[in-house]
This record gives sequence, structure tokens and C-alpha cells, in this order.
Amino acid sequence: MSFTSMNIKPSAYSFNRLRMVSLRAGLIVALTLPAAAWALTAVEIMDKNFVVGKYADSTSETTMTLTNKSGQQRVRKTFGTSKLDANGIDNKRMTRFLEPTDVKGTVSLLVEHSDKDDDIWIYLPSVKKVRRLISSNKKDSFVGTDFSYGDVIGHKVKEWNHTIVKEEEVDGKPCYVIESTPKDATIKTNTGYSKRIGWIQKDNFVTVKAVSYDEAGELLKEAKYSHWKEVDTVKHKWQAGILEAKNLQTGHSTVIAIDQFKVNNGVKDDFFTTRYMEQQ
Amino acid sequence: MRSYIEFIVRFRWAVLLAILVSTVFLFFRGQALTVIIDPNNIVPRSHPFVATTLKVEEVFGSRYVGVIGITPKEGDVFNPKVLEKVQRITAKLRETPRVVKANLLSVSARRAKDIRGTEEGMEVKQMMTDVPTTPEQMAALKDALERNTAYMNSVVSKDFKTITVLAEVRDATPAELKQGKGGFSYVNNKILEIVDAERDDSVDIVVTGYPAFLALLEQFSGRTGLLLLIAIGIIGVIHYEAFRTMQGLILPLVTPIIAVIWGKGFMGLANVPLDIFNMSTPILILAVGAGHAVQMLKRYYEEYNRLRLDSSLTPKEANHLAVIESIVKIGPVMLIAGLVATAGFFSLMIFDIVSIRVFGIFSGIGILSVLIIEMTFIPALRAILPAPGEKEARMEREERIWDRITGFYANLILGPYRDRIFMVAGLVIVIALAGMSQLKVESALKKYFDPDLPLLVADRKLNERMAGTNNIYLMIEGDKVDAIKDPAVLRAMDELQTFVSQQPNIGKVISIAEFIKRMNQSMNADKPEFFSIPEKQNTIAEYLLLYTMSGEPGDFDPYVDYDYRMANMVIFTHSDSTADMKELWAKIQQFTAEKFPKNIKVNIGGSVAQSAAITDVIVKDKILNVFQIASVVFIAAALVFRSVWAGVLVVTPLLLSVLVNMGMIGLLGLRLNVPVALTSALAIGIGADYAIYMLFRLREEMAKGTEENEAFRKVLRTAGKACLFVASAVAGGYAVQAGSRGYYPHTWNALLIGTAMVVSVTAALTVMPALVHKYRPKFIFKGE
Repeated sequence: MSFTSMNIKPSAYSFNRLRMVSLRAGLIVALTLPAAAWALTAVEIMDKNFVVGKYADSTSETTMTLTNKSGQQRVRKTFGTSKLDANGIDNKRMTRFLEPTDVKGTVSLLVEHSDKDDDIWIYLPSVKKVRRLISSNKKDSFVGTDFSYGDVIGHKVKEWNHTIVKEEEVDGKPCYVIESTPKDATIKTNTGYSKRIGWIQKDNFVTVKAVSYDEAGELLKEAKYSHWKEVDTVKHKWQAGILEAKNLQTGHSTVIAIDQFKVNNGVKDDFFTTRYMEQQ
Repeated sequence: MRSYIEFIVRFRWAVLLAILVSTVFLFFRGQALTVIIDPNNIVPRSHPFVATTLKVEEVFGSRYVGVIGITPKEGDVFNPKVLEKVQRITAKLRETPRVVKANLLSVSARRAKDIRGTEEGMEVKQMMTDVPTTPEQMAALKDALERNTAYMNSVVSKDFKTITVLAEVRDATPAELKQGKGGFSYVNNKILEIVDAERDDSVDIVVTGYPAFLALLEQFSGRTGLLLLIAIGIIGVIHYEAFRTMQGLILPLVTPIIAVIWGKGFMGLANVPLDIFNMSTPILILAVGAGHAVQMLKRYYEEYNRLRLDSSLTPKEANHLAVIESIVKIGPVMLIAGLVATAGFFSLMIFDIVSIRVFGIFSGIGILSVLIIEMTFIPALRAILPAPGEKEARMEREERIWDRITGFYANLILGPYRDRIFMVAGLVIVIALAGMSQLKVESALKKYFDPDLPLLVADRKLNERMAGTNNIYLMIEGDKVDAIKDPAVLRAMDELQTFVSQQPNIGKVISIAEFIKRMNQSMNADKPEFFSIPEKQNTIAEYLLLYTMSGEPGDFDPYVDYDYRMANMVIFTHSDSTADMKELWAKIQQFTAEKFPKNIKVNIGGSVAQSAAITDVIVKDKILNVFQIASVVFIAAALVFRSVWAGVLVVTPLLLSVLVNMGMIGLLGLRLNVPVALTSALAIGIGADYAIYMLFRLREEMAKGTEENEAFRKVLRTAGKACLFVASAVAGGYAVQAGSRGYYPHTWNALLIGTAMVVSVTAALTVMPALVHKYRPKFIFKGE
């Protein structure tokens, strides 16, 4: 995992898979015509929401501020790159820590495997060694933040039941309010959520606000995504500038500020090697 | 005083109405009074052990940890059936309200990670995601547990015969309190429901820990209300037997009941929450209130009977006059006695223990309320009620057992064997002092309960099977951010951990140093020589960062704070003895002085340390408490009577009853703790009242010119008899609590209140008048 995973929020999906999902969703839409002929279904909205943050590669600089309930803070600054794998499904992400000073130069390389556990390589500058870290939890907190790994990668549209509960404005922008519940108990356990509600902006399909409920049905987290920027005006890709989340049960909160962000700048595969990690 | 009471009698209806309206208002305010269950209310917060405990709880959590222990009847825990139970219990607990999900710990909890070294690096995985089915998988789980030593003897016993689930319960939110989900019984019952579904012939499952004990405390405290009602009933019956009139049955109870309502109402208004350890405080208000009410009633009957001899008065006129006369005679005495007691109770506000402060406020307000009600409501009501009938008045005058007792005391004081009273009192003091030398202070919550209760049995079982169910925390505090990442500090912590583990009774010690060592080893292919603290601080920082990429961010929360300035070393011990703990602390202090860098402070806390703190403070404060109230009473009595002698006389029954109480606790092998301390404060509150009433009446009679012997007899027959009524009634009322099984504070109440009543009334009716008779103080015998 790395901090640059932000860049593909909310999706780590393949275009192929997406196309299939969209096709199927389209089929459903076609079957339910004419009632919904001009209105989008909840699934269609979620699909569009899914695609809006997808890029072939990215480079970014982020500042992450973690605050616990007593107000103590940990601030981390990172530089990251990401690239979609040749198989079109998995991502590779490299993250270099710039701050705090006692971990400066630490680099992590995350290689996602949709069919098995992800690989993480870590370069520890104090011992000048690259070590491999194997981890199994995709549902847990993302690098100590209040976003879960699932929040960052994006929840698979087809694993959830979606309904439009209402439409309302957030900060003056009209939004669809969509409630999503897991289709089965495994999804609930894997994601840790029994329900999610998202506020999705009508004009560009980005998520501006989200709340989630834990497995026991208690309100768990509140997230806000703001300062959206169209990073690819041709393909209409968007990236939030500030991502905030608060765990209402622990009082812990996270603010991620994307200081710099670029897409489609032809990131080379060389970036994602252990040899490269040891450089610099 | 006379014009005041004439005013009250004239405007009796208005007075009655005003008091009733106030009572209704305060009743509803009292309903809003929150009852809190906070064990920290019985601890002295400024004591270093307690301050450390509170700090550890605040920074590292883990305040109320429930423990579920599963022991298969045959074989070890590496049995799919047993592990499935652990998995199901853990999963259901995760969905239980008020169970802190992130802090759940068991072999199947997300927090339980297997850190394993590989040739390439490190693998961090959840200890058990699915229950192993094959022998190989089972062996792998066993290896994982053995490899990650932090879990040995905490989530699984060393012999692998018992496996546990640890669930932390948080305090209720105000919303949960409103929904009735605020109690520990609520959570504990949820836990028991989950566990009960897993019980069968193949396993023995026990549930213990702080939430279970607090739930038990709640259940027993729930009985307090019922016991109070029974006590009120019995007090009424005994008063009825004493007075043989309905007024005698009802009025002495009306005053303290209204006073309790007022007391609760004012506390509600002032937003002082009532804690669970003060649930019995109405007892004191009841006892003191009934004491004053009975004196007043007794005097009223006396005056009424005297006035009825004058045939020119109608019963109604005689009634009104009797109301006025009794207040004129008794009112000032009551006010003085009541204000002295109130001052004594309010003076408890200086104590460091919240429960004792609340007790001081509650009882002080209660007694003030008694005074107000007795000076307004009761005379107004009595003036409204029809005058006592001929039969009623006669019944009250009749000679019965009470008169024989006071008659016997009078003969003793006035007869040739007077000095034998002093000899008996001396003997009692000697025995009491002998008992006091045996006095032990012990305040562990577990000691409040009958050891044969199922929870206590369960707790002992788990204490034997696992690392121990008693906690000690060592808080290691640096002077700057990242102080704990310093290799020198971590090495000292590691040595301290080893040192503590080798001490007697210690079952387990966990600290962040151990996790760092484990990570260092796994980053170096699990080679044993790398189970050590790395040389460089940056390596430690990198490990910790790396862990957040694989573990959960909260995994180390119980052991190190957010900016790595403080660390918490958790010690599990089999011993709950405060003496053992203090011995351990002395050794630790010596060790840390030698090994730790100078900028690091090490402090001790935890359940056993809290008990030790209470022990320290109670010994000191209890003595202070007695001296404080006794001094206030002494000075007040001396001022009122303008005689030092009066101070001595008033304090005598009070000190005697405290001495006997303490002596008895020692002789019976009981322990001095907060409930006992609160109970014995009652002895002090009441002992003074009896003496003050007796002395005033004696002075009144002597001033009237009553012949000396007759004066003594009359005082005993009137004021003395009233004291006897109340003392018997209150002692009788609380004797019922002896029948409340399982919860010792109720038994202690019955025994100690009973004894306090008997001793203080006997001393006030024998030793004190005998002293007056022998030493003839000037404030009574004016002419001499």
C-alpha cells in the first residue's frame, strides 16, 4: 500500500471488468425501460462514479495529518507514483517518505494482486536493505489513516445493492444520495461495513461526502472529499484535493492534502523495482 | 422562638402547602439525579498510584476489560470445536454495543497478528482467519502463538489448556444511559448470552473481569432500595411499639423521608451525581432525622399530657400549646445538634475520595432538611391533626420495657455501683483497642463479595489458569516526543520486563520493547540473535512505520502513546495483595534508578496499585475523619454550653462507638474500606445527638430546680427514652440487611450500624450521665 493510492480513488478496477459491469448495468436499464428511460439508476450512477477517478498512471505529493482524539498529531509527507498493470487489473504504487525525518528515505512498493495477497517491499534507509512485507488485510485501515484500504481502492459496484434515497445539495451542488448495502455477509465482513451512504455530485459523478456504518450497524465514519480538479479534461477524470475522514467511534481523524498531482505522464516501469528503491 | 412557632401554628395550612409544593418540585429534581457507577469515585485521585492509573486509562485505554476463558475438559485448545467457539464469540462481541471493537483480543481477533520472518523479509498476518482443520494447520497456529510471545499466557495459557477472549467495555454515552443501556449489567448480560450459546459438556467457560464485577455490584446495589423500604417499615413498627400511637408510627418517618427527597433534589439541582457507593446514605439521613423527630414527638406528648392536667384548656388548645412548648424547648437543642452534625459532614468536603465528598454533601443537606422540616412542616401538621385522644395519650404514658431499661440505667448511675459503669466502659475500650491492633485495610472491589459467588469462583479459576486476573501498569514517561524510540530507553524497558517477569506471582509482562524485538527478529529471517532492540533510533522508527502498513494502526495503542512520549508496561499478577505489590514496587524503583536514563520517569498504577492507594489514604484519612468530626463536635458543644466539659461529654459516646466499631472490624477479621468508613461516619453523626439532647434536658431540669436524683431519672425517662426508641428502631431496621447474601457492604451495614446504635445510645445513657454525676460540671450544676 502507499499513499499515492489516493490517485486512483475510487477505483482500482480494470477497464475490461468495468466495461462488463457497465454492459450488464446497461442491460438491466434496458429491461427496466421505459420507466427509467431518462433517469439514471443507482447502479449506473455508481458505475460512473467508479470510472471518474481512473488513470493509467500518476505522480503526486501528499501531506497526511492524522489526529487522535486528544488532539495529538502525526504529519507525514510523501512523494508517490502509480501505474496500472499490464493485465489492466492491478496497480503498482511506489511511495517515498519525505517526513517525518526519522523515516525519511523509507520507500514502499506495493504490488496489488487481485487473486492473492498483495506484495509490499520496503526499503529501510537506516539498515540500507529492501525487505519484503506480506500482508493479508485489504479491509483494514490504510496506513494508519481513517480511510480503509477498501475506501481508497473503491468498493466493487456489483458487490453492493444500491438505492437512490434522495437528491440534495452539498455546498450548493446538487447530488444523488445513494445508499449501498453489502449483498452478502462475506462482503460485510471483508469491508467492515453494513451500510454506506454516498453523496454523488450530479454533474461529474464524484463523491463529495460519505458515511459508513460498522458491522454492528453503528455509525462509524464520516468522510468529505473536496477541492475537486479535472486532472484529465479529455477523458474527464477528476481528483479531490483534500480528503478528510473521521472515525466517530474512536474520535481519530485524517486529513489528506494532495499538494501536487499529475496523470498520464508516462511513468516508467523502472520506477517499480527494488533496485530503484535503493537509489537516491 | 416562641413568636416564630406561634407564627407557624397560625399559618399552618400555608406552611404545609409550601413544604408540600417544594417537596414535589424537589422530588422531580431528584428523579433527574444521575446515579453513576464509577469505581474511580472510591479512589484518592491525587495519590501517585491513582494518578498513574487514571493517566494510563486515559492514554492507553483498557479500563474495563472483560475476560472469557475457555478450557476444554479433555486435551488442549488446539481443537477445531474449541477454536470455532473462540471465533464465534469474538465475531459476536464485535457486533455487541459498548464493546470496543478495535481492542478485542483473542486468537481470532484482527488485532492478533503473527509476525513471521522470511528469507526475503517479514510477513504480518492475522493469527487465525479461519479455524484450522488439518493437523498441519493446527501445528502452524501453535507455532505462531509460540513465536509471538506477547500472546502466550494472555490469549492462550502456557500449557495450552485455556484460551481467552478479552473484551474492553467502554462507558455509556448519555444517549445510551437514557435508553437503559448504560449499566454494566446490560453489557455483561449481552456477553453472557453470547457465551451461554457456546457452553456444552466438552468445555468449561468462565466469564470474569471488571465489567462482570461492576454488573454484580449493580445487581446488589439494586437491592439497596428494597432494603431501605424494609428498614423504613421496621423502624415504623418499632416506633409504633414505643409510642403506641399512629403519630408515633408515621411522623418520625415523614421527616427523614421528605429530607431524603430534598437531599436528592438539591443534589440534582446542584448537578452532583450520586455514586453507587452512596446508595445507602439515605440510611444516615433516616437515622438522624428519626432521632430528632422522636425527641420532638416525645416532648410534644410530655407537654400535651402536662397541659391536659389543666382542665381549663380544650384538647385543641392544649394541642396547639403543646406544639408551641415542645418546639420552644426542643427546637434550639435540635438546631444546635443538627447544625453541629451538618458542620461535621460538610467538613468531609476536604477529602480526596469523591464518594466521601458526595457522602458529606448528601448527608449535610439531608440533615439541614430534617431541621427545616421539623421546624415548619411537622409543627404545622401536628397543629392541624386532631389532638391525641385520651386513650392514645395514656398508651404513650404507659410503663413498658423502655422504661424498665432507662429505669435500670438511672438506678445504676445514682446507686452505689456507679463506678462499675466506668469499669465496664474501660474494659470495652481495652477490648476495642486490642481489636483495632488487628485492623486490616483492604479495599479491592473483589473483597466486597462472597467468595463462593459463581463470579468469584470463576475469577479464581482463571487467575490460576492464566497469567493472573490482577493488573499492574508501569507508565514509562519521557520528557519529549519520540523519547520511547530511543534504543537506550527500549533496552532499559526490555531489561525491566525481564526483571519483573522473574518476580514472584507475576504471570505475564507485555511492553512495546517486546514487539520491537520481535520485528527486528522477523526482519532478519527470524534468527534468534536478532531478538533484540536495534542499535539505531531510525531503524526503530522505520519498523514502527512499516508496522502501520501491515498491522492496524491501533495495534500498539495499549503499549505506546501517539507521539511516542509514553509507554505502558502491562503486568498480570496472580496476587491481589497490596503488600506484595508494594514490595514489587520497591524493587522496581531500585532497578529503574540504576538502569533508566535520567530523563525517563517510571510510575506504577493498575487495580492492585489503586487498592494500595486506597489503603494508604483510608488509614490516614479515616483517623483524620474521626478527629475532624469529633473536633467540630467538641468545639461546637463547648461553645454552646460554654464549657470544655460539655465538649468532652458530648464527644465521649461518639468516640466510644467509633472505637467499638473499629475494634469489632479488627476482631471479626473484617477489612476497613470505603463502605465501612462511610458506615462508621454514621456512628459519629448520631452519637453526638443523643448526648446533646441528654445534656440540655439535664440542664433544663436542674435550672428548674428539680431535685438532682429526680432530674437524672426524668432525663432518662424522657430524652433518654426517646434516644432508646430511635436507636432500637434504626438498629432493627438495618439488621435486615444481614440477610442480604453475597454482598458484604450490606452485611457490614447491618452489623456496624447496629453496633453503633447500641454503643452510642448506651454510652449516652450510662457513661455520659455517670460522668456528669461523678464530676459535677459547672454548666449543669450552676449553684455549686
